[in-house]
Amino acid sequence: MIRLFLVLALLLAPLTAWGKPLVLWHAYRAAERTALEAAVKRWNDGERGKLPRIHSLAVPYDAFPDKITAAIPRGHGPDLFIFAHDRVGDWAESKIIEPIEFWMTEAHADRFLFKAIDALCYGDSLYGLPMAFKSTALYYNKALVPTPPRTTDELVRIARQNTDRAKGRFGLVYDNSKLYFHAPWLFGFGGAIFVKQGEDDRRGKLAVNSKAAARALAFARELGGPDGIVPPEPSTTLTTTLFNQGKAAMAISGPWMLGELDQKRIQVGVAPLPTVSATGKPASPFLGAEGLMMSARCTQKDAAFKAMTFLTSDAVAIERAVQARQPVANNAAWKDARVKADPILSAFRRQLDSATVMPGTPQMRLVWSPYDMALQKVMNGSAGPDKALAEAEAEIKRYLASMQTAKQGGHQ
Amino acid sequence: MTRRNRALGAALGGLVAASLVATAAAALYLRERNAGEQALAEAPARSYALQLAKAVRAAGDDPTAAQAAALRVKARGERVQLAAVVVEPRSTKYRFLRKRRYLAHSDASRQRQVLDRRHAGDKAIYDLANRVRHEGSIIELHAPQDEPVEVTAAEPVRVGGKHHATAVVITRPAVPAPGTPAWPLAAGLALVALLGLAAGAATPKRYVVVAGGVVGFVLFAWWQLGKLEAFYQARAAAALTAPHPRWPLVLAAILALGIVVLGHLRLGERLATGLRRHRVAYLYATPAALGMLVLVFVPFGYGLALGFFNHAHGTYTFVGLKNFVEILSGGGRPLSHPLNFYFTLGVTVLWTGTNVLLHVAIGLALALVLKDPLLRFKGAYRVLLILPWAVPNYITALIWKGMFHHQYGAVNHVLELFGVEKISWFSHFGTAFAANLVTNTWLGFPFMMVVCLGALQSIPRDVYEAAEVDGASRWQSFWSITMPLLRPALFPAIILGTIWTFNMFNIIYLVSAGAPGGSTDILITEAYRWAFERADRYGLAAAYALIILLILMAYTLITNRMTKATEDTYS
Amino acid sequence: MRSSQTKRLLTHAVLITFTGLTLLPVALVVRKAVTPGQEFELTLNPIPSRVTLEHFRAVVGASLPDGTWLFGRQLLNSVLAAVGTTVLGVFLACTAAYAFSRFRFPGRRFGLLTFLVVQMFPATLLMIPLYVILSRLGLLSSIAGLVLVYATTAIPFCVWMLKGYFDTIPRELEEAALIDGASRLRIFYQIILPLARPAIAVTALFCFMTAWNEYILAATFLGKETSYTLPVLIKSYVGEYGSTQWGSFAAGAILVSVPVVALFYALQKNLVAGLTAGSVKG
Repeated sequence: MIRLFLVLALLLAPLTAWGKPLVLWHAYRAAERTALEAAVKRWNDGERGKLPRIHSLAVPYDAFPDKITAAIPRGHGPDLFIFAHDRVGDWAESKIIEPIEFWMTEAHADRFLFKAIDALCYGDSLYGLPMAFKSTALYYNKALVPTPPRTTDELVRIARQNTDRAKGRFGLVYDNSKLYFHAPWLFGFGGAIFVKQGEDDRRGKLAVNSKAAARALAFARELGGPDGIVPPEPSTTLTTTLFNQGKAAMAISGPWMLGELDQKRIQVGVAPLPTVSATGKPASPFLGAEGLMMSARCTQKDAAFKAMTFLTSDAVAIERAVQARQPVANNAAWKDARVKADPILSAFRRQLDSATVMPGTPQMRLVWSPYDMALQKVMNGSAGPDKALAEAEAEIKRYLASMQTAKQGGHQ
Repeated sequence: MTRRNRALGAALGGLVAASLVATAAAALYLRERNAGEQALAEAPARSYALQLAKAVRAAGDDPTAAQAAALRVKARGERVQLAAVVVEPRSTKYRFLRKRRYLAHSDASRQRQVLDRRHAGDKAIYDLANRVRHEGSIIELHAPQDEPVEVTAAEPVRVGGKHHATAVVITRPAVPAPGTPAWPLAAGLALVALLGLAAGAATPKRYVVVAGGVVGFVLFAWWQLGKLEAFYQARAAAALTAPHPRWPLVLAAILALGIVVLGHLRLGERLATGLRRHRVAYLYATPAALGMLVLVFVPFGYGLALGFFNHAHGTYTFVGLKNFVEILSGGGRPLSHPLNFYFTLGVTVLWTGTNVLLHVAIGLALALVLKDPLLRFKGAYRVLLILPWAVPNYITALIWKGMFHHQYGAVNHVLELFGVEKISWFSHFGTAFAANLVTNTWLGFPFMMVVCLGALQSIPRDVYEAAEVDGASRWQSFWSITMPLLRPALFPAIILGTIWTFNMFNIIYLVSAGAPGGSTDILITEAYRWAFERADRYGLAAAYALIILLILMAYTLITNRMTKATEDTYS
Repeated sequence: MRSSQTKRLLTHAVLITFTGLTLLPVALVVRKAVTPGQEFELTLNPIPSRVTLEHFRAVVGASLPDGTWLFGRQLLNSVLAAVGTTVLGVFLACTAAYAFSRFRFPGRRFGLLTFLVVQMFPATLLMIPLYVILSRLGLLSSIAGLVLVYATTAIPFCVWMLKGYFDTIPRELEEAALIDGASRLRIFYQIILPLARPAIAVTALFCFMTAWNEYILAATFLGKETSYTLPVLIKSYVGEYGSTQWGSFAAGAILVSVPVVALFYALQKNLVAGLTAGSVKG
């Protein structure tokens, strides 16, 4: 009897490897979370044959990257996780995420918006499939701004009409002390952060201190200065609050603000950011891709890739776009009638065409802090644009140098 | 030597010793691992890969010739898999899509085939081929649990200066029989210990007891080493030399030397008698000490050692004192620059001093008012005043930040009511510092109030009654009776409060966020930013932490002398 | 008589003003918790214009798609962690503090200094080694592991506080009991501990609050949503780019603060209890 049991156990043992579910970590809340969990449920309840179930776990956003970096190298991490692409370079270098281009075909890649999938590349490899894309765009209060401005001159004109500092009303509100929100002006004036020196250049040369960048800073100072159209000391919280209370005619923010707006009180409209009048280029915000990535320590990589394919499939993407108003990265979703009928989603889609993909390299992560400091200095008037940029570039160069020396003996 | 100097010496000595031991252990461990990797580089897999690469290069573009050349590579031992892989860009649109096929394969049926997902192991080979293009030759050891050990070597094949193909060799070396390095170690240790004891033993009975202890220790060490065996087996599989690590031997030698010295100084004896005499004390102190050992001292040792290393993308390299030099030299920045260590240190000291002063003053004042047993609604006041401490500080800090907003903040509204112009709190150092100070005082005085209340309770009433009878005024009885009796309880709280305020991260980070330009950052927020916002430099952050530790220790030892807090206060 | 009455009124007036000012930020949090909408209010007025319980309902009703009541489980986890930490922490701290206060043994000074020194090392970097240690002990993703970490990190402070209080208890009491033939353990339990009740109350409160409010270690070590503690739930309302669901965040913060306030209210009576007065002289 015992022998029979042992034999059966031995025979069934391989099946236990399949029984282990795929663990998926994400930082979604509210409607996005519901949509994702509905998709996971469809996978679990559907015809998946021998493929394992998916088990999802919601992790608070600010603990997410640290948890991934601590857990995966020690074998306690998830098999798949969804996160913004800005750490792809760091995670790839630390061997935390797995390159997936082995399973990809051109047809599969064509399903996604090119910029979204490009964001998830590092070096010559692809590290994830895009679930959604995020960029800032121009929110406007339809009662105060009947038609959105097409150029920055128009923007300033409309904003001035709506600004009354004594009453606490402003024409435009956005966090002007963060590079992420300042980027539209930076790229619109022709500035850059890293400039590629040829085809094979993976990182690019630092080009923070340039005349174009200084002009962009001067423009931002005009907007946010003592008698400008942007309130002092703005933050994302203030952006939402003022816009919700009707005290801001326009705002620059991303899709995350939608969930916080009281659409019964304010008629919200979203439009792509205007063209910079001085240069004729469109104001180009940073484009971020929310990627579904695979852990390098995953033990069922083939099955995990199939799960990734499912979660980023067109059908699931359309559901996410319709139910959670997520700007999804699948081309087919944007052809669906329901998605096309959503004016706000369509606005974000149009914004993508002029957005600049945020580099996911380790070098880019060093840029934020010094550049933000330069912005702060310019906004509170303690330094001029040229000086602030020069200091920022010097500081970034110092960090880059220290990163280089730290990697001596390691690979490129 | 005065007692203070002895304490100072002991503390510093202990800290230096702990740092050295932790760093030495970490450095040795890393060096062993690197040595293992060095030995790995000379493993057979590597030479096969080089042979294969040479053969494929010689065969040129002819796949048949390449296959034939591959099969000729003399591979000793079983379970060796050879493959030469060609990877070429396929799509101009997507740079990650590439054509990949086998030029040669030890399994002849796969020759010229495309690498695809239906064959397990193809992905790993493809990823290797990709990496080789950028990293050059690779050799790796995979020792997954319950699966055979694999050594993988990959070499680039360069034709005409350009990368042409990758030669990949996967070997499954036979795992050698477990050796017994513990025997010589254990025997040597026992011998040395016995010698040491012979030098210092007094009576035969104690000799037997201590010898028994040493034997027990030796057996324990042997058992632990046996566990380490399993870990190093895998490395031994690939390494041709040094199958056994050397650092446990070094550690054992240090221990043996220590035992000899101790034996000679009769310290073993004194330790035993000491233990017997104070056994009750040790009994009471042990549970806490044990818990702290595992969960506090070990991470603490890790933190100490980390300051001597540099971290980049998961790899740690030993850099000695470089981090400390970088910090203490100001990082090449002028003294007035916020990122200069001395500037931040000055801000931190100012921050700590002003905070503790305000906390104690307000807390003590409130406690004195609230301790009056005749005051009504005392309970209500006490509970209400504890609320700042009770509500989580990550939300109240954000509320305070909102209250200091230039345009919409409550504080500016109140100032306007008094006719004062609105202040841009976070644009200047002084005002931003004040904003942080107000917030932290609001958060911190309840704690001091509670401590003072508790301490005031323990002062017996008849002492005050006696003073009143003698005709002392309220002020006199406060200074001559209350303050001295409060000291034993208050000074530890002040020292702890100082330490906490020195390391108060949340408020600085959430309220002023270092504005303007990083000037209100204190040492701990600097360290955090180095670790998590700028290039993940954990080593530099750990060096900062060690410096913070040294500063606080110096402070404590100085105030110790002034307050004699660790000694009896009984008169 | 009159001057003492005016003095009393003055005292109350000052106290009321001070308390009011102190409570203003807390009142703002409460206002946000009961006002509909998820935005951050800017006005100073602590009285809400519209009152709703929707945020409390949302927070308390948080559940997984399969119907598990998440808030309930997480509340239970927080309670277990906090109670466990308090019990373990107080036990370990009392025994150790007694040893340091009453006995002079070699290593005493060194031990006290070490307890102090380990608190000085900022703990932000120690997450990785703690993670490794807990995973080796098999305690990752369990409340027991968290309890151990919280208790041991709270011990240094507790020992210092308790030692300070034990030092103020006169030794004559114990010496008298020793002469009467009582054992050390009896003295510890029946004489010292009751006298130190205020200090133990403070220690217990501190241990409880450390465990109850701690966020980053809980978020990193726990691997299942049903094992999360309450602070993790509350912080999940804070999203990327600072976008926060303020209503739920505030409601969660209020809910999390209530037990701490209640605990203090309950322990308050202990703080008032009479002590050594008269027990030796009498």
